[in-house]
Amino acid sequence: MPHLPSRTWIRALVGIAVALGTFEATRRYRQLASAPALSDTSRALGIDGHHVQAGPWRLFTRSVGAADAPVVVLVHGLVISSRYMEPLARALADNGYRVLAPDLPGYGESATGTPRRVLSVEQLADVLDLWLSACAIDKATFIGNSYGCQILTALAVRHPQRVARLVLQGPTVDPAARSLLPQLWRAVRNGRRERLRSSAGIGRIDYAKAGVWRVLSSIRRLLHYRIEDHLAAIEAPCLVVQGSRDPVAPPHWGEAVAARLPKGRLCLVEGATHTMNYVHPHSFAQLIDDFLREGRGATEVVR
Amino acid sequence: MNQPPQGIARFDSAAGMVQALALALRGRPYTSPSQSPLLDSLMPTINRLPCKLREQVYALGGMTEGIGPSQAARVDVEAIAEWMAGLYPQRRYPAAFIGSSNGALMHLAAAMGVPWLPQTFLCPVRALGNDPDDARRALEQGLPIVHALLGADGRIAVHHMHDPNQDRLMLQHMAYYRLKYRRLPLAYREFLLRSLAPGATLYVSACNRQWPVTRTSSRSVFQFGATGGASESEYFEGSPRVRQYLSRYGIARPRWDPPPADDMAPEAEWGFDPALLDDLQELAKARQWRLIRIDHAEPESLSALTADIYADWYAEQGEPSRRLLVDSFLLSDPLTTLRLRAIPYWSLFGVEPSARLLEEYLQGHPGFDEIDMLLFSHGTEGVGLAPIERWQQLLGWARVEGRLVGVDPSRYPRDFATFTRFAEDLARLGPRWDLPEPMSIAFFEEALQRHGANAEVSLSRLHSASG
Repeated sequence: MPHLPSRTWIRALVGIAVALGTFEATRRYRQLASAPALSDTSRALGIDGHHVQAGPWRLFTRSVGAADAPVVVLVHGLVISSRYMEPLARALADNGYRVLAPDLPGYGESATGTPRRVLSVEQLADVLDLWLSACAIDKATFIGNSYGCQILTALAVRHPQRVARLVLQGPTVDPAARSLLPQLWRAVRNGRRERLRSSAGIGRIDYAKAGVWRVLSSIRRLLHYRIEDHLAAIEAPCLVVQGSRDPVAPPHWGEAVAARLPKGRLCLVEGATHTMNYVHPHSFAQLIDDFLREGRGATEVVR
Repeated sequence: MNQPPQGIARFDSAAGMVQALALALRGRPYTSPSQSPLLDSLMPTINRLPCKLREQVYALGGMTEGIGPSQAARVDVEAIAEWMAGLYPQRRYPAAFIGSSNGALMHLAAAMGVPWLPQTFLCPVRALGNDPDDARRALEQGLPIVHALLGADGRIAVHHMHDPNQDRLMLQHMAYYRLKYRRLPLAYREFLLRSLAPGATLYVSACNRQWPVTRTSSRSVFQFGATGGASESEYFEGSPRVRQYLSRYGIARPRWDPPPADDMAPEAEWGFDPALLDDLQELAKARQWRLIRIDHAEPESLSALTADIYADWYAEQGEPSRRLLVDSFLLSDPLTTLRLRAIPYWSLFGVEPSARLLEEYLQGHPGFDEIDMLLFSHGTEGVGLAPIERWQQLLGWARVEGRLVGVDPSRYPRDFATFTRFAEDLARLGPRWDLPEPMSIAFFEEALQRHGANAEVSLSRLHSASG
């Protein structure tokens, strides 16, 4: 064995460690990116998946519930896909709804055609409009989480005839934290609070499918779209569902969103975090059911 | 089992019972309150230490489960509820229990194959250099912690509990705060919605044991003493037994001098706070669940009753009741009890009132071939503790053989290896059978009503499935 200086050995070992780490990360990344659209668990829960051609877009759409039941549409958050909407979809289907949840272009199973193309909030809203036509749905109730609330706000303003009722859960982005680092820190805090029933595993799949460029560009678009400038133009009755333990969209911000909506009401859910559709889907489904079945007062508190 | 979030002690009744029941529903025995293989492996060594050193190691070990005073304001009671509910297997249940902690109730739930969600849990806070016998100072020093805990979540009540009789060792380094859910935590709501179909039954376990307290706010009280070996008046007014106890531990006072009690409140550890009922009724109405309240006067009101229900249940399956398995506090294994076809009898603590109740039960039910007995060691020879000879005498009721399970009589009540040895010894008992078919709701309710009248236990319907 040749005698090499110790520094050379250290460099060689570090090089090997980096190479092995990169290899393992790449392998894991590819594995996540190639995860099937529907897991065995999803199928066992009765969740179906099919592609819908909406104009130039081929959108993967999850569906569950009786074909003749009232339709509700679930719109996913930032980068993550409709995969994390499955628990809520299942819970709503149990309450008698037909649930459709598309993956918007660039996310989950829906491609944009080019790897670097990232649609704006308004463009995503227009895609939803096309998708509704393709599904032969004139008007529907929409439920969004986080970034999905921004897209639904744009839909309600640009295509008001499409929106019967809106449920905005954890709407982004709180103007008090409209920059990258505070948003990341809030997301980390939320992740800690959701540690025991986390959607992080699903998030990793969807982030790998979207790719790094799209993740960064999507964050930029989320920060850029000022939801507060558009809320006053929403005509449809709207329920803002606010978690008391949501650090991403904190309660005071949820109150502000509801106050700006002409037909808005606030529902504060004590104990809920940001990803309520995944962590507390049955409680959320019950609120949605109540909202869709009956009118309620201007402001209410649900504990 | 998952590591619990900060703010709940695993060595306590609620955490121990919820873990034991959840394991039983998963088809696994409950083998240790700590659920830590490392700590369990050290127990035999710790048990060989000299008496005083053993006590200190026990107290310091308990302290590791406590949070620091500065963490009190950040206790996440929602995460704690999530941890407890998340211990149970995810499936549809025909019923669930919620409310007071109770060892006998765990056996009923295990027989029915249904979960129980505790209303109360222990949040110990480190307090080095505490004087267990100075209750006034404990109240004063605890007030900032109480207010921090109250501020952490508006849905809880805080019961600052100070019992120098039974918790002497732990109180040297910790203060005990029992937190009661007055509103239904979202994690419990979610669990119930996920697990119970319309028409299912939700049982509220409501122990009506009260205790004189000093009220510190609308949602907090200070409780001096606790249900166990000494009476309420002994805690507040003293007695020859209290004088002897304090003198035995070298305490230069003839009796305690607690802050005066100005109210009555649900007992910190066992009592039910009815504030929780509002949310339960609203939820039962929305989901068309039967909501049934099971009132019991004392924690041990359910002990003989549960044994009787089990005897009827086994008899219906053609199994005679030949074996009695006596639990002690949180030492219990519902799964093994079922597999041994043993009648479960839950004792609150190793205290004389508990021994007397067991004796009364045995007088009314002679004829067990075998009696196996677990015995919890809490390290203190407190007022009212029944000596080991008393328990051995009760084993004499067995027609063939009575035995202590996992207990070293020479070390009791400082036999801390019993926390792991009980499971090792239980594992050696036989013969064993497959698990029986779950006890039906109809059988449970009929048997509870039939036996309940004698035991100050009653069943009342708060909501019917039909509205």
